[in-house]
Amino acid sequence: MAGVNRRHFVKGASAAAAAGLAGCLGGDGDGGDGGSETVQWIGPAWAARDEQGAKYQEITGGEVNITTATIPTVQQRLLGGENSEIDAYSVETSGSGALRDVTIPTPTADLDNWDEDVISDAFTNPGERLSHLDEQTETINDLLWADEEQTELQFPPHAYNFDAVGYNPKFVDDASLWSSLFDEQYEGQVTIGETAAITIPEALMHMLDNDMVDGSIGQINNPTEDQLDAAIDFLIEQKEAGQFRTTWSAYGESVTQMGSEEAVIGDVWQPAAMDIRREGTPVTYATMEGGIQGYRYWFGGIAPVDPGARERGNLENVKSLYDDVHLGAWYPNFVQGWGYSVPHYENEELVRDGSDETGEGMGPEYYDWAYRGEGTYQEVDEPALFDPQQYDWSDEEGDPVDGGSNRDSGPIEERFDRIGFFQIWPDAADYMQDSWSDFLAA
Amino acid sequence: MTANNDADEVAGTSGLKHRLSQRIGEPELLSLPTVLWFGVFLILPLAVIGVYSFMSYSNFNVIFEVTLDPWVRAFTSDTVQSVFVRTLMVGLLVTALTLVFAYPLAYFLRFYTGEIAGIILLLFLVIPFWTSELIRTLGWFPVLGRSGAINWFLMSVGIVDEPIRWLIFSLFSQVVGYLQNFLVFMVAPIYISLSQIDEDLLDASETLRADSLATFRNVTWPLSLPGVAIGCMFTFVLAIGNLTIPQFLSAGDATVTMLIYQEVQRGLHYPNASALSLLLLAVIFVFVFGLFRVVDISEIAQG
Repeated sequence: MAGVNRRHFVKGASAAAAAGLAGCLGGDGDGGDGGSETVQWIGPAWAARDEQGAKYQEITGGEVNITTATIPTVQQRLLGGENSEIDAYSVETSGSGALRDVTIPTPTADLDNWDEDVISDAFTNPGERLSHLDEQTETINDLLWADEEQTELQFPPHAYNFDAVGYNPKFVDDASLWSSLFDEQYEGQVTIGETAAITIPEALMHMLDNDMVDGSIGQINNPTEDQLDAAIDFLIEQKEAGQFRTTWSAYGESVTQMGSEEAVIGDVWQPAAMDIRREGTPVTYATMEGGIQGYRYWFGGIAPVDPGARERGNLENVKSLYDDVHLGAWYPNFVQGWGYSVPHYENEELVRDGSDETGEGMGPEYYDWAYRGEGTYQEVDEPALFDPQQYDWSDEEGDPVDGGSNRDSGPIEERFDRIGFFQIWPDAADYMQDSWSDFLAA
Repeated sequence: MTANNDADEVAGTSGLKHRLSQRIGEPELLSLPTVLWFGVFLILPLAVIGVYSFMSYSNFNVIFEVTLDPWVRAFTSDTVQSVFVRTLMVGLLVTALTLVFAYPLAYFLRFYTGEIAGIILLLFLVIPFWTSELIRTLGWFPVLGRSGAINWFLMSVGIVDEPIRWLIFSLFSQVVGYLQNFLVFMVAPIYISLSQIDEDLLDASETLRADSLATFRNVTWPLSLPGVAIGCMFTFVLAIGNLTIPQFLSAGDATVTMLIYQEVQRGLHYPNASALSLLLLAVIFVFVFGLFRVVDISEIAQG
């Protein structure tokens, strides 16, 4: 070996050995099945519960460590440099836009359970399914897909809801419009949220419907500065007139305020409505009229973190967490207890009647109640106190009875038809946050 | 020669040490750990906040380009000004009310109970702090709420026909929350000040034919001022810096701390939050400095 001395030979042999070893271990960094470390998953409580992590461990043997954090905290940690130590995050659509640069897109080809035939059109073809929202559907595609061809999910959806007005039927006969929050007959009895990205759209829908602001349904979820000014001025006027009993920033505050009947109507979340019922206070989640004053629609997702999931060898595990657990049979049953729905509900063979390695589907009674708007097989004394987590759902086919409970807001297809607003983080967010202080200070 | 050189060397070293110890001094050396502690955990973080307050921002990101925008907003925004004014007014109101409630309590503990009994009763004010501030704050709901104890009583005896709604989610409930949480911070220093009053002075005052009121006005009150000042400082600073109480008990009226919280939580706007924080700190310093210019608190340390 001319020109090769002992030092060069050892160095070269070591390098060759290292390369060979790396090849054996899958050294491209994408990880293999059962990555080397526990999956680190961060997200709010409604999106990442211990039971979901336990289910993943049950079916894969791998471990998940869940860190519960609010959406702003998730954003802080990922954008603040911890994206190398975290594998997966969950937020909802008002928060996902900011995390684009720390997300690894997920090819749908890598997801065994992503089948366009059983995933709702609201995700595979929102432009057509939600055509009444006009240009808002483009914002859905922007958040959902990483590419124009729609082959890679930017933010894989796992749960979603149609937020509405919650009201105490002892004091409020009916409410189907956001305008109810600003109705003088409820002066001093309304609770309203302190999150600008949520409360402002609710005001804008009321104002647009009552010709108080210029605009269109298509661009209402991305308001201009003028529209933001109009909405905030309106809300300040309402606050100073004493329309609101108080405001809420944390979920639990809305539960306490409605549960103690200090407020009798408000823009509460559906899980909050469930918790209010569990405190013994009746609450109905409104069936919104639709059109301009429709549901505030959002979805949550589970996305792999860049570069954390890749560098830690957990990218495939995160995909498995999403695909195997959350697109399986068990999760729809689990998450409906908080009022949330799943993208693959059309897969009735699995979700309604079937089972898989994750567990049982919802069964006929629960599925029909949750998605078809049908009643329960047993009578329910107080529909406004009905708790789906406590009811004994039948696994056998049966018939709804008179006096049974029907799910608030009706069948899911009607809810999709009555969406008025898709939740995003708007382009004028900086201006919105700046101006929102005026409302808080009022 | 070697021995002389060694001796000279030792003498030189000792002289250097002596000169150094004279310059540096034992008190300075003893305070060094404290100085280091404050340097690392106070000055350094404040410096970081200070730097951030001059940074730019866009859509969840701090941009490291110097700008005065956060400070311009802090000083010129009508909203920030009105919130500061309201926060300071509430702080002063709470301080005054807490003093009104705390002073008689401290006076009673000092002059109408024994020393041990007074300390034990004072400790009872501490017991609520064995629970979290959140629990203490939420505990007012079943008392002040529309179906709470007070409304139930008033309606039961026929004083009112329907629940009084301003008991909660109002300035009243906010002040009650502050009072409950900060009373001990006013009572304790006043009690200590009163404890340091030589009772012979009170006897002398009576001997000079001063009645109780005159004795209080000319002897007790002036001598308790250091404790009053410290109590006022604690209460004011804690009140205007508190987030939990206005968050849960007010009618949604923002305080400076709520604005700071919103800046960070909703948009990660650290520059704005930093500027507001430093401005709040400056206001606190002005208050404390002014207070201690009027009242000499060193007397309480000499007791």
